[in-house]
Amino acid sequence: MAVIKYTDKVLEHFKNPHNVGELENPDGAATVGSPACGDQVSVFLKVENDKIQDISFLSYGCASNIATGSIVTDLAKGLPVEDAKKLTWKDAVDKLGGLPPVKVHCSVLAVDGLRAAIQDYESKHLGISHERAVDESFLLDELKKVIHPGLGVNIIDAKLVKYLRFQGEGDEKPGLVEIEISLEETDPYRHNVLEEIHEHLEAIPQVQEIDAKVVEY
Amino acid sequence: MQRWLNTEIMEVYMDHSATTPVFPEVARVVYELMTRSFGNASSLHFKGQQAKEALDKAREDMSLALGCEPEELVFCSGGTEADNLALFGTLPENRSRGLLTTGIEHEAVLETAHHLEKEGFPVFYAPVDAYGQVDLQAFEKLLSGPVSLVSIMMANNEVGTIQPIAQMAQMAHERGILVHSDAVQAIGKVPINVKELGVDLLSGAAHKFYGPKGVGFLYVKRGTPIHPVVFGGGHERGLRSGTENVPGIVGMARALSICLQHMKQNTQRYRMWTTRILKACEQLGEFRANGHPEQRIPGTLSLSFRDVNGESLMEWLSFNGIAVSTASACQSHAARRSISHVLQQLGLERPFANGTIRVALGHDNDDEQVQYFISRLEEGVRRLRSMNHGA
Repeated sequence: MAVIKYTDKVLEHFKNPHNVGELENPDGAATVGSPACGDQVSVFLKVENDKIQDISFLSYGCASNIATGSIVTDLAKGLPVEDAKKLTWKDAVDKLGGLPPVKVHCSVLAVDGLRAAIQDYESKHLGISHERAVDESFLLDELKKVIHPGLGVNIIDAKLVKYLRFQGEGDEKPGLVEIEISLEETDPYRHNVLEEIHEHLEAIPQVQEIDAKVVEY
Repeated sequence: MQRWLNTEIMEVYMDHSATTPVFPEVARVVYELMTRSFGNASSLHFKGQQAKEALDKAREDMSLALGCEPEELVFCSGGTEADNLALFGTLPENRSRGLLTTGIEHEAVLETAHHLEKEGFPVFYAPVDAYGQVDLQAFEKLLSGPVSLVSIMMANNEVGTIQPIAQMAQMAHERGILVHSDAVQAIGKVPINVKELGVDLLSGAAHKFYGPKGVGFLYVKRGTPIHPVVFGGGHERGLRSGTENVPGIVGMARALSICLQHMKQNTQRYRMWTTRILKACEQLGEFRANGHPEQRIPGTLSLSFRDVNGESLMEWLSFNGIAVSTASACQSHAARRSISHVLQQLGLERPFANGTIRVALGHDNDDEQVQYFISRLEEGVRRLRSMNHGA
């Protein structure tokens, strides 16, 4: 196993996490990840006057998952919903003083959980539908959840995805995603990134087949 | 909210299946040989002869401890090399017959088996039961296939289950099939006599029994057809060329003899402690102890807790100064997603498999450490469960 060194801040939040628990009658709630895969995070929200008045989380995850859940709920508490939506994985990790690259995946989940809980709030209370047609722009947003552990940036912003095509109804092969991603052969996270791409895309019911090619440019 | 860390941190090593601290007496012997009797055992001058004498003595001591002849031991760099020599050195070059092993072997055998498959050798995997013991009926059927070598570990590194090697060796020999056993996890912990076991080949590694890293051995029964896999100056009767690691080998022999001296007493201590630990775990509820209840390595426990992330529990214990290991090391997401191949073979349900830690007690542990471990474990499991489904 790789030597995993955490900052004191991460340890503090793991040992003594903030905002743990379940809120009664939450205005928004969501569970992301799956315990079968190793971790799962649930986030609960109470919203008053468009502000996150209270927030809590539950975690079935490792130390970095728990610490990120703790810090991201701290960051979101009291924020206007619109601002909380803009919280990123990087905001949380910076606040924790960094995370080891192998732990990136575990930490993204808490931020995804917050976003999903806000979406749940918006659809229940504001009638905002988050149902989107599955197209390339939708897939690009999904792929933004895949963070390259070495770069600490998602693969879209890191400009690693060179080509993306989704075939919808009426196309030759409906449900086929073709993606070209630039990863060097020596990239130690090559395998992780590909696994994550598959995991995120496979979770979309409209996606039937994934053709991921690694290119080196 | 209750503070997690108001208690003092005690450093407790409970990962002796991964490696062990070197006995101080062994370290002194190794140091002496490295700095004073450092000669090359092949040199004919007095310095070489000093080393040669030390090497011969170590070979004799080791052979007495294992119940074999001194010439039947081939010293090498450790368990992985010994396993590779056993497999590559005995399988027929024409690939007409191959290997019979299990799916719960250490990677040193499992990956070698996968490689042999790619090379075109027939390779068969005997199934194991829920305790991790080989299904002898299925094993017997598989023996009638094109098999020339059986390789089955003596004790499993993850769950500690001991295999009925003597019985399997007899069954294989009736069909003229050679038998190898990777005994890396068993040596120094349970009595081993290669003649009584009846195996043709047996691997060991010093660092698992309080000797130095980088040294091990393969027992090769006299008359076993085997050829070398590394070539050079013809050391170790031509089976393993390369200047002998005399300090390591002498250290290994000394470590094994100390283990044997303490074996009975340690077995009793480990029994007492594991009973105590298991009782505490039972009280936490939603708990499984993996492996065979009796046929197992003393002091090695595989503990599974539902609704607890095993990696998180390992991390929590580590922050409290306690070193144990998870069943599946979470290096990458891919690795974490696949639960340990051993637990999978045992058919452990996923909610338990994901919450598994391995605790391997050792010579250097004491009552106080065990008590401290139990208290930290209890708190960790409760904490993580409350974080998982709310208090």
